[in-house]
Amino acid sequence: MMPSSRTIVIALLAAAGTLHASDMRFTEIATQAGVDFTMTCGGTPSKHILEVDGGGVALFDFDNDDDLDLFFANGATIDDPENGPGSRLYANDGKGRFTDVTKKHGINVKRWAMGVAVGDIDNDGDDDIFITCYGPNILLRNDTSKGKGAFVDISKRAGVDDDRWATSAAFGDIDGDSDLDLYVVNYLEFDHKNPPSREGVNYKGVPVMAGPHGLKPQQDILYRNNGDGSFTDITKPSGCLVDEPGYGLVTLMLDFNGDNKQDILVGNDSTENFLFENKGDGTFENIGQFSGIASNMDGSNQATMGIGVGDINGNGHPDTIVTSFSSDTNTIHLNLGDGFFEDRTAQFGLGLITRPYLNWACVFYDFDNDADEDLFISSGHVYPEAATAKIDSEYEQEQLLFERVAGTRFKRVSNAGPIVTEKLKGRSATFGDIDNDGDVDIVLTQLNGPVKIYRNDTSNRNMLAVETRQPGGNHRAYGATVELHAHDARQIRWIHGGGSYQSVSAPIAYFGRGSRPTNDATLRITWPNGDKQEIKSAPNQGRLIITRGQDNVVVRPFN
Amino acid sequence: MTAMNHRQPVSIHVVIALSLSFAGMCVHAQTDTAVTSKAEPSSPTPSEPDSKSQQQCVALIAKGRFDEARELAKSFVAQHPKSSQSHLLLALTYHKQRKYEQAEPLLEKAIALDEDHNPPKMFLGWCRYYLGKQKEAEQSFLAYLPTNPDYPDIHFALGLIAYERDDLEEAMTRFDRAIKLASQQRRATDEAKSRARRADILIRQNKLEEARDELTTAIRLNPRLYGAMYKLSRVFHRMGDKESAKKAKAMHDTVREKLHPTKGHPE
Repeated sequence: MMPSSRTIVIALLAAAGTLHASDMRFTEIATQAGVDFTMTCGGTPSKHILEVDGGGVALFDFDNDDDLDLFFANGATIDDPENGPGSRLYANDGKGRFTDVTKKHGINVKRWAMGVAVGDIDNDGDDDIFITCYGPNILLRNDTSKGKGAFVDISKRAGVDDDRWATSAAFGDIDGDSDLDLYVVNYLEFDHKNPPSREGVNYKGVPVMAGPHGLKPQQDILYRNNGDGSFTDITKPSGCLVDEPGYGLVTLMLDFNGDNKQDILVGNDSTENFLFENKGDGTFENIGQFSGIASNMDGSNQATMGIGVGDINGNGHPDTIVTSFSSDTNTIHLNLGDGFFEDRTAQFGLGLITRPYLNWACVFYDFDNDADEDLFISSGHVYPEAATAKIDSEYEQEQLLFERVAGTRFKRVSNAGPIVTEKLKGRSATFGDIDNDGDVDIVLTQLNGPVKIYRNDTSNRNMLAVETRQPGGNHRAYGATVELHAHDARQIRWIHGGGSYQSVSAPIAYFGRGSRPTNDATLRITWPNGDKQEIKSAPNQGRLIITRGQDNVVVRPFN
Repeated sequence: MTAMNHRQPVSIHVVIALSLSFAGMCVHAQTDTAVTSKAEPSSPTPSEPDSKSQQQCVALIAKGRFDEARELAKSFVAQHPKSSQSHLLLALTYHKQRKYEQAEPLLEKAIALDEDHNPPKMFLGWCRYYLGKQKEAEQSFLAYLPTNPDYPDIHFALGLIAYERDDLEEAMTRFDRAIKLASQQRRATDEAKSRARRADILIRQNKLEEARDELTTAIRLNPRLYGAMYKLSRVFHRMGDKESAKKAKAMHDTVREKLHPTKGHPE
């Protein structure tokens, strides 16, 4: 049989060193898994900037039955943004098969939803859902294990129903009081009844939609949890009210400087990124510019869409990748550990290779369980004009999967299945072991397209999935750091809220152990309050549930 | 912007020079690259458009009147379908507009029509660079190199490619060569951008004082090189000199806004 032209192209590119043959394999199983669902975000083709972001997705265990369920923040259309097809909740049967339980659990969110954050806001032991919207944001308290078994909309009562266009949000404990505070990222002022004119707006000589430049950016919001399930807006007194707001698209709460206080990183579209350093006295200082994380090495404020975190250079500090527009590169910022970040994109092979793509979600996970973290980046252009006019980037694009090779460069993977060959309108993505088989799977949303679930079929199941628990609030331990030490090597993961793009991934530390793991693995956990805990002789595979202060570690085998 | 090319003696005197300064992050491409026409100004051959028309086309490109320039260049191609120069000019109407996908095949055609015509090789290299085709870009630059070994920009380009490969030694060698040649040829902007990129390597090597000096020289040579100003502010920050960092950043902001005012997304 003659090879297809696509095969020939891939072979040629691989020969040229652009692509990399890998052991990673993914199979698309959305329909088979019971998620036959098309996301909505405006009309097709997109005419306005409101219609291009797509919706977010969360992977979390809402019913505490030890598997990862799915929530999709679904959009609507410009003619009726309050009445879209509705957001969806799917329950996992523990083997990666999902059932739509949206109605069963009383979820009736028809408003144009954008992003999602998950956290136990009332410390009752189950995860609640915060939904960012075009229109008032929504907080759903998880009462599924009580009373009528439903989620209850407490947005107004909780004081978080701000009606500016919000994109992403993240939970974290900024004041160390063991309840979860909330950062909400706002984008720009937009009136769907009077959308901005497209007249005179061009990209590479092609008429396109207006924005974000020319439209008014919005301030973000920092909420402090009052401890009773309600929140207080502390944006101004905390110092998070900025002189020049950005076009916010993504946020992540993480301790970037190792002082056991959670900082806030905000990714802004076409404006500088913010890094709010937690001073520990209830205030923050934006050190984005000072630290070097605000822009790329040339000082360009990039169109930041997503944020991923990992210890790329092995110095124990969280490094970041941010995704960007086409005809630009994504940017890796190494955390030098002295308060500064440095753009090292080229060093890791992630510069020129990403220029043809407009990227969104981005995460580091060890998809092949070979003891180093790989990289997934979703792709798809915002301008439908890219389908017909040549703007150096296509409208539907391949998703990007990179394998970490020899501890240095990332190599683009060419042979992992349709995940890297099918052209899609990729947007948000979430990550976790949905079928509990010992590898990290991927759920990808599209702009006005069907959800994709990519089952990881790697043959190596030597993975440790470490779940952190703590009594007395913040039960998933957002802010914890988990280190795996084995054979003189260290891997490190952070349990955090936010990141990727408008989405929530499983708050679980996944460690690949390689094909021949040593038997000397030690887990070291730094809890959000700074307490340390060590687990010696950790197994080579399985789920470990570690509770702060308890020596008894629960170990569960994979399916 | 137009400039005369005094670099190499040519029997053909018409010189087309285009400023290839790009907005956005591509500061390293702030360069003046000369394109030597193959046409005689006073005695156009039947196979080439006349020099006056070529100059008119170049002037339109330089003014950003790409559609008009394109129409003119298309007429060149229609009238002189075997003219490498006509294809080059048409390609440049796209290249200057940063529409590299459309420029690329035209440059390939220009080279196919005349393998000895070198400028298309250089432009093709940059096209491929900005399209993310690292290997192919390097091949194009290397194809240009043998006939123009003393052209600073070719070493600068190969330095960037080496930097992308994380081959810092090779990158340093290339930037050093580019700096030396540019200095000898009094090409200040070329020298400046190579020094700015050399500083990137010094920063990677944590040689902050050397990087500071290199960036300071680069900015002196080209006061429009705002990317170098930003890098200098980063270096000052890391050296603990907040006041100098602030000044360098302010200079960056002013120059960048002056050269590339925010007009509307994304250009």
